[in-house]
Amino acid sequence: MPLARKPLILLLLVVLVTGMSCLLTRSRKVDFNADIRPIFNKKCISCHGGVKQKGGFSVLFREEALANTESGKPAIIPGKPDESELIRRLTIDDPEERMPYKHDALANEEIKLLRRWIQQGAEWGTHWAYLPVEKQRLPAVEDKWIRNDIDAYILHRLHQEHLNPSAEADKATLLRRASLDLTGLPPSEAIANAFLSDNSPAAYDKLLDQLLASPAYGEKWASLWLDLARYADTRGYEADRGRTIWRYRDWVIKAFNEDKSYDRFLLEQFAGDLLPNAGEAEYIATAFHRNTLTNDEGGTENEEFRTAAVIDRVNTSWSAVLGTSFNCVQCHAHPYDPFRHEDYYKFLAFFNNTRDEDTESEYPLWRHYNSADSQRLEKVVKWVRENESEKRAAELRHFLNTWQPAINSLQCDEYVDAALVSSWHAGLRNNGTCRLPNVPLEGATELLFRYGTMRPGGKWTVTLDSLKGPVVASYILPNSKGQWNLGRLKIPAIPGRHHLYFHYYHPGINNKEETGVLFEWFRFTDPFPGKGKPGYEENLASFIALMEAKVETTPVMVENPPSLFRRSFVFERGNWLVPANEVEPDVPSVLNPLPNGRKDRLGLAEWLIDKKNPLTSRTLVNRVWEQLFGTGLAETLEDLGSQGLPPSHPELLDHLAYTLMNDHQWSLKRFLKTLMSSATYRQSSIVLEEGLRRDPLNRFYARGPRIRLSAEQLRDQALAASGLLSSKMYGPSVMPYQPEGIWLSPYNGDKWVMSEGEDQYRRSLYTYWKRTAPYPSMVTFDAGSREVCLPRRIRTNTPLQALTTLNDSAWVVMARSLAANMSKKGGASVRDQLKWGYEHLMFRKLDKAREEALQILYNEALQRFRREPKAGREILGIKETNGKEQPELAALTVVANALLNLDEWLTKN
Amino acid sequence: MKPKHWANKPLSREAGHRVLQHFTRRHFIRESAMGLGALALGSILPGCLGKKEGNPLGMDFDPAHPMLPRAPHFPGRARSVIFIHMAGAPSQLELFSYKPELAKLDGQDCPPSLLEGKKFAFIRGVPKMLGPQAKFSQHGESGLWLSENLPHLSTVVDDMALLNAVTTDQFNHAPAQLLMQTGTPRQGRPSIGAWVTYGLGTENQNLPGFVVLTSGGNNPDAGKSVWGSGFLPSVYQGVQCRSAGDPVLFIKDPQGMDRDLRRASIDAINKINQQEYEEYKDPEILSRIAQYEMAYKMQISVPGVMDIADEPAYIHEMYGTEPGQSSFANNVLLARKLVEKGVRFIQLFDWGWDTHGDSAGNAVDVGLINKCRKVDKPITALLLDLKQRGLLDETLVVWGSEFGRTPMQENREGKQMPFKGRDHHAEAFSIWMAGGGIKGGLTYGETDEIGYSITSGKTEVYDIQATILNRLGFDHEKLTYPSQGREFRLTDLSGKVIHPILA
Amino acid sequence: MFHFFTQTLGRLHPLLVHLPIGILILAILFYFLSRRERFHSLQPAVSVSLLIGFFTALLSVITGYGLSLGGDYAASAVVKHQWAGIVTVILTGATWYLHHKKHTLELGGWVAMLTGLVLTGHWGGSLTHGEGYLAGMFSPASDSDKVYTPKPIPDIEEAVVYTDIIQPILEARCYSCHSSTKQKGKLRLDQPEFILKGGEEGKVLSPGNPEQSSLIERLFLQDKDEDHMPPIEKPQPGPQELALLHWWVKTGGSFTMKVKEGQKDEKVIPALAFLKEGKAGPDKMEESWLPIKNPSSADPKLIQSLIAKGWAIVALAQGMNHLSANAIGVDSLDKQSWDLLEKLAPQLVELRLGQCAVGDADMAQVAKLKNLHRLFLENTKVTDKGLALLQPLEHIRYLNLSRTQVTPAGIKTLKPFKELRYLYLYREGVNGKLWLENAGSIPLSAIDTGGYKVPTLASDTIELTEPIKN
Repeated sequence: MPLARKPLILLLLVVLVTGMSCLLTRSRKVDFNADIRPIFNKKCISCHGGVKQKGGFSVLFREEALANTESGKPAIIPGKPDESELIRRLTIDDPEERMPYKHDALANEEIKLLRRWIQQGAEWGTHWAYLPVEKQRLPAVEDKWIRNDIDAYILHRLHQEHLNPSAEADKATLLRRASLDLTGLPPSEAIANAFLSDNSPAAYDKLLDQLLASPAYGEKWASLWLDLARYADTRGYEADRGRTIWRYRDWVIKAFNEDKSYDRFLLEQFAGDLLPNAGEAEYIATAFHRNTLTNDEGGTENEEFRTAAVIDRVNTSWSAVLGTSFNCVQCHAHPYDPFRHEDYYKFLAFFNNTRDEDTESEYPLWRHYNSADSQRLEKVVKWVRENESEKRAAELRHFLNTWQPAINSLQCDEYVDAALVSSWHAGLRNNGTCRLPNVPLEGATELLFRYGTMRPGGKWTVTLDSLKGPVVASYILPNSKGQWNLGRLKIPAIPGRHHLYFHYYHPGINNKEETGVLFEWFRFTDPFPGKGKPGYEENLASFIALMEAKVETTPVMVENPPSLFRRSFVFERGNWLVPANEVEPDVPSVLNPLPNGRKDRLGLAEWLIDKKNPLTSRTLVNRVWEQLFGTGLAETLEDLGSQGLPPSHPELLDHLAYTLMNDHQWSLKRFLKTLMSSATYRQSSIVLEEGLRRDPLNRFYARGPRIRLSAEQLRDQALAASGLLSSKMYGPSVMPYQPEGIWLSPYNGDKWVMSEGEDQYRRSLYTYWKRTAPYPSMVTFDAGSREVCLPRRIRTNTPLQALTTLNDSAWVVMARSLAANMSKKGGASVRDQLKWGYEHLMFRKLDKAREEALQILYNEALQRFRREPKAGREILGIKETNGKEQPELAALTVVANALLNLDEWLTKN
Repeated sequence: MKPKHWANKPLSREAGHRVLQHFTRRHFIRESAMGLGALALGSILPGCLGKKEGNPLGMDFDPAHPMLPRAPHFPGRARSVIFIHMAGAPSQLELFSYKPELAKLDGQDCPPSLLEGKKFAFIRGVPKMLGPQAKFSQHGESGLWLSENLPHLSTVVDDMALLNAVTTDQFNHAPAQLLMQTGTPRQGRPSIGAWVTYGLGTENQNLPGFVVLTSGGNNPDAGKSVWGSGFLPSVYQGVQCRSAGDPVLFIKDPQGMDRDLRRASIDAINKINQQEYEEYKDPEILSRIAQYEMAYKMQISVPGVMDIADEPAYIHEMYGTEPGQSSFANNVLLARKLVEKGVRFIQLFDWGWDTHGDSAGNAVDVGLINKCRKVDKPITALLLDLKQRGLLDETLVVWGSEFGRTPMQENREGKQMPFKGRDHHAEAFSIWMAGGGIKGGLTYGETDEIGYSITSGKTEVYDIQATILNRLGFDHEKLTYPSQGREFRLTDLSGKVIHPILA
Repeated sequence: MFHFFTQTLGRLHPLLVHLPIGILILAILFYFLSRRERFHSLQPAVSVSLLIGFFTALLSVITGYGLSLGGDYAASAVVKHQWAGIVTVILTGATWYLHHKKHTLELGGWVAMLTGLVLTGHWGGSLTHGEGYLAGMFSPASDSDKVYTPKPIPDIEEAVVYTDIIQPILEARCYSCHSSTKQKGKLRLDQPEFILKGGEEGKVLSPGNPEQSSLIERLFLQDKDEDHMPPIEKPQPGPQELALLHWWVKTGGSFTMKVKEGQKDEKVIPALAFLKEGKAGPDKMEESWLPIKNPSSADPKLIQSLIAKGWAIVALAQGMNHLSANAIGVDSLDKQSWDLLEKLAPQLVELRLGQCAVGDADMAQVAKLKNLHRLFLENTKVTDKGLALLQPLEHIRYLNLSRTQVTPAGIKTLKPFKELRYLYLYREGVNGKLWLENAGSIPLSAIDTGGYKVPTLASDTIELTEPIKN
């Protein structure tokens, strides 16, 4: 045959093949985040990252990785895998040289990836969580199962996984699920009946609205936030003494109930005190960052624990709001994420300029006046405004509300025959002296001070710049009878800053050890203005009365005045004693910049809630999702960074984050309603063979959530169902029944005093929370100690939980009450009573098998209590026998106790 | 994001496996899912393998029997562990670390070289050196140096391996305790006891596998997380028992409910839960059923084993125990009883060793001695009692703390403290081990002549953990659990078995 | 374009290469067949297939070049394959030409082409499947993980320590880096004189004291220690190998000494025992009490039913079938338990009855568990009578009788227990001496009669309030 045509055919073939292959394979660019970063983080970064840079090589930032190493040449040469030391070291045989040193070699696949990546220019990528939240394109899936956008994303993924969604759960299940999720309680009878009897398609929608409107909603969602805010009723550390800060808890509840938008919610908590004409509410909000531990331990360095508190504010802000573990940056650059050592201290600087100094009284405190006094305060302020100036009026209002600014006596030094008594207050013995350093007198003419002494007639002399210096004030201290007194002294106007020296003399004190006087704080100011003006006397009197009024207080944030500005430094290796360079407040450069250049807490707050902030919305969305579905879209709520688990549905996460900010305007209620209206949420939680095999952990949501209830939900649910729950809201924390010997704090005489009446049966978030010894049954069900921010509760399942719900007297009491209702409302026959009890709890019919089991238990119990009436009385908690025994009720109690232990009761189906 | 990149386990394990190839016996490790010996386990509990798919843990682990005993990687020398943690950090310089040179420096200013770039909890400015506040002498055939503060322990040094060059990188109590107990200074990782019970299960299904006993009037500074289960199944977390009052909270049935009735009620509960499992097929329900059975059994066995009243007088004499009290001595005796009963891991915490010297109560020459007197006799009794019961050679006893104390005297706010105290010292401290395949009568590791920094035998906290696991029959690099997208292990990325102290 | 070329065309290479190989082989086949009369009709097919082969080969080379630019493969490794490929294409072309022209050199062309084809294919294969991919078929273990398998030395006492014992170990563990082929650290261990000479860091052998001999010292270093030998990536010597090496140096590191001449310590004795039978021995010294043979695995059903009765049954280690049984969680030890245990006798090496309600009667049952090595009876009602029943348990190595009713007189019956090493006898009120007298003739490495006291010192009860003055 003629061969001339053959080549043509072959050429054709070539063109054909290559053409096809074009369509087949789109360009295979290596994705740094998906392909390379995981290898680095797992195999390299522990020696070549933020912590260590062995051989002068680090793969954290591109510029570092391409820079010259100790060997003098770079380890990565973009475009040239064969000349890159990195590849050589990964492939070489000699164990001394081969990396990872003394660890398993990298897999061929991994090495190939690295080669190709270098070949393609060794580009770095920003981790997904640090990229701005963009509007998402909805996946193109059509299905009648879909109810809203969420379902589109979920279904799309399900198809990829060859899974099918489950059918909608039955109404009863939905009712209980929704109610527990929104209010943390079973639905009220009214709501339940309304929903179950309403068969219109709108019924579920109505249900959600009703639940969202209930005040119980705020109480349920507050407990989530209180974990993050590390809210507790004690101060922590050894002594762990009490703290009055419950008004903050109430503020959170109210905020949720009035659906305060999340951005405003954050703004007030981070910088309420800095908002224009901030009032009581805004200040209470700032208690968010006063939930830090304070240490009353004798001999502790107050500055150390002030620093610790500030550091905790940084860490909490990141875990709670930004869902990132920032702690490691405290000592070194972040081992995995692009945060540098100094970033931490720049961020810390935002918090470092507040008045709190680990004082024993936890200053600064907001002074809560009763209504009469508040009116009085308004009058005084008004009078000053009219007779003096707006500025002075504002200043006096601030002082009466917070006693700030004042200088704490723990700033004193150079003690001679004097000391900082138990690290709290400057105290002087007879002829003792000390110094109050570097005081901004700035021409002040009045000295306000708070002191305490048992000895009348002690003479306190204040001299300028040295003990021999000119006398600023000399004063015979009246006896305060062991109380704190407020003193007022005229002082000569002295410009500038000076050291003030104190001397105390008391002719009557011979014991060298006796402390004659304690000082708490000093305020250098001017006398009450407007002398001679009409109403002066009366307003001065009000002013003094208000200033001295005994009032309840709440720790709040107050910024330092310029005269007391505190500078911030980088701490070498996190050691606060080794300050390095001074830093300005600022945010990490990988994230969005400060929106309006304002470099204080208010600026920070505005940065947090800036729609450009990639983390705030994602973190919240992820958290709320976890509350409803049991796991976050990114499972590691505490860390969206590169060490956290990648989200199962990245697009959905971003979609929700975007809509939360833009469509829902940060409204949590509206957001929740969208989530809970989705078909995804409404699925039945029955686990199908298929689903279990392909997706045991339900990360793809082919079925509804099925999770054990939280400690609070469990107790509240049981209280509600047994008819004991008190609807009382707010107020000081309460002490329900707790076994003996739980509180174990040395140097602290506090006791657990069981509350009276309905306070025993308040919702769990009102239970007194002692950090070193939290309410045991709560801890057993995975609540934290609230010492630091708890970004995620890990759900557990232990025998101790069984023992609690079976035997804890608190639970036995609930069983009794439930049993009483069963016999009262259930009807005459035991059968009906059992039915009523079960259905009252589960909102579903009692089936044969279950009924039989309960019946057997009932009979067994009844026989026993007929045999032994005493046992029956004990179960019912009846001491004296009043003639008639109630073995039936006792038996019902045993059944009720069992009902309160059923898995379907402890679990949200 | 492609999940597959987050766990290419088989590949990364290939090399490690090759090393083992000539140990034919160990081939089987590769077959195991989580290094937990699917095969060995399979040959013993075929029932479990069936559950594999349904099991959220993805390991050969039967949610209904999470605590059944499992075979280690290789035959272990120790069967159970008693870890005695002195919370607060005792001073090695008054107990184990003999430093005659330091005595000579007593009262002199601390050379600045020791202070540069160092973090101290309380020391400020230039502190003074503080000589050892106790006399040391040699003991036993091995001639181990021990101070006069431990007269009883001195009689059993030939059973102890004393590690005098242990080091940590945490200088505050809570994080340091977390590092020692969980392998990380932050919260959220499983404690060593949890790892061990996860690996070995426990031999007595009627008792918890991991028991925690605290004394000294307070819990350890780091709180419950030092015996938590982190990301491991929660059944492996430590169960805190109390030597006074209810041994375990809510262990007693409500008044008026006897055992039969409780049995009946648990039967009813589990019958209904079983019913529910049929409907929902959620493995967690099986786990719940198992927990209720366990709870019931614990109610019987715990009070029994936790009551030391039934011990003969001579034992109380030996330990210095008084039934009904809450004391360290009682906890030590309980630890022995629990070991006898097949409990796998017993963790003791004794609080109050933080000898800063701000009061007599925590001065190294007063409070420390008082603490020693409370623990010296019982711990010695424990070693001897275990020995005469034939339990010492299979019970690993570890005595330690979170860090040590400085050779300098603490000087808070630059002032000399009213009493002789030492500040926290992370760089070097002492720990000892005994029994369970540990060589007796030797000292490992040395520090400089003032006990400030390590000169030889540097022992990381991870090495201690690796060694404990090794004695129990585990390769600490293979006892792993997947979490947050990677295989976690107790010893994180480090850890060397301390071969010289192995018997 | 570049990217398209490397990524897209390049990735076709692995697919395309198979065409020329197949086709050209076929062409060769056709050619040789066609020279036979019967297959003469194939004649035309030869040149066609040869030509197609040529073009596909050409295409392969082009795509191959593209792939090599992709950077996945080390350039060095690619070179050979690349050039072989190009040459092959040329040869193919040449061969076609020669064939076309019926040239006399044609045959040579065919042969050359075939060789080119084979080499290219081989090097290509090595690239994708890794070096020695083919070789692997013939020699399974590469020398780096050579396994140490000693030959049995029946008359061990007469063996020469160095030549018969040490050299084989060194050969298996060290030669790969320290012999004629390689001398890492300038050290050779394949000849006595080299061993004595040492390496760049000086002598490695100091006769008589292993601790000073880096040859030994470095074997005992912690695994992760920089200086640990052999490098952790290599197979590690087992404890008995270490014991032998250690012993050899300790006894003077002689190259002529016989085993019987060396004074033996307790570590080397078992090691020598293993050697006698040509066993590598266990990988952990402490296991050496175990029977070397791994029994057949037990019937899971038996174990299940025992577990159901509260027994803790567990293998001593993963992959081992030796079982340990613990009755601590058992409510009542009934007949059925004993029957089940008896069925497990081959695997059961450890039985724990401590604290349990067992007495003499049960010992008759225990006696049936022939393979028991460790037996725990502490704190049981067992008396001398019961103990006497245990005679059949010839393998007993560990026996815990503390706090039983057994008397000093009773333990005389333990004499026949040849392998008994650990014995615990503590019983309140019985004088330790009595025990020892009666146990006298038993070769024990550990016996404990307990009865320890911890005296209460005066200081134990005093609480200080201030420093002791002295």
